[in-house]
Amino acid sequence: MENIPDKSIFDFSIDEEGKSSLAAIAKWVNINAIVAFISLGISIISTVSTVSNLNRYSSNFGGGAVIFTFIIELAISLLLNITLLAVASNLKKAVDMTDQNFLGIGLAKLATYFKILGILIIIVLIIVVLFLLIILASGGRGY
Amino acid sequence: MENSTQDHLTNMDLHIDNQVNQQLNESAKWAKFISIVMFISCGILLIFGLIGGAFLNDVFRRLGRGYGNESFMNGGVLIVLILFIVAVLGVVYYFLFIFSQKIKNALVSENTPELNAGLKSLKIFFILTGVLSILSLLINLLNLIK
Repeated sequence: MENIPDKSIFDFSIDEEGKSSLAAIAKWVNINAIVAFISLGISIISTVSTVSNLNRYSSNFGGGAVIFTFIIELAISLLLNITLLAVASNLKKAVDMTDQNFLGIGLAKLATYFKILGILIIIVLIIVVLFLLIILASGGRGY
Repeated sequence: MENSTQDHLTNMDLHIDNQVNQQLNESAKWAKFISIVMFISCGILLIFGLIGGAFLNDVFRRLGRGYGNESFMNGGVLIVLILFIVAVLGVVYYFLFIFSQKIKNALVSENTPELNAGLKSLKIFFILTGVLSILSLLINLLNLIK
């Protein structure tokens, strides 16, 4: 007689403790995203006021570089925090409604969030390495 | 009969199916990468901070007691500040690292307590980053009001 292991396919499930952790993760991810959006708002106000002040005092001031950098920061921040909001909303629905589909979507969004962060870190590392190479190649001339 | 089986399956508790397994694995992989890069950055920050602090201490000592002992921005303050930042970042990313380790182990061994431990570490990571971002928002608001 064939020896069938006494193990259900759903043995590896998320119990009450896991669900409570998922609910807490959803709550704090939501808080993180909301705080980041408020910070972004403050940052928009302070950048606009800084650029307009500098333009008022110096007509030669080219605010293009500042605005360009700020737009990139804005885009990255929006992308990350919209993903975080999606994580929070889907995980909350998954726990509240015990819905496997929302759990899958929420965790996929979480994976996307970490992937974006990881790719940004790789880009920053490449920029730092290029910067160091340029300094080394120039032999510290001008410093 | 078929409907009742389907209803039974949809009413099952949350479980780790193929899709969830794949997403958790992906999250764990990137979380491990991010935490290791942050640990290395903390180490570099610590080395440069200690060197910078020692250099500043030396400069202030050479400038004389009037500057060196009473100035707020001396090397000691810089070293303490760097140590504090490194300690906070280290603790935050330690929990992200633990999340990645525990989740990977849980997925390999199909172990629910290990999965719970991983999710708990991720929860602590988001709580810590949340508290830090609230503090930073308050500091920014205070600066804006001033």
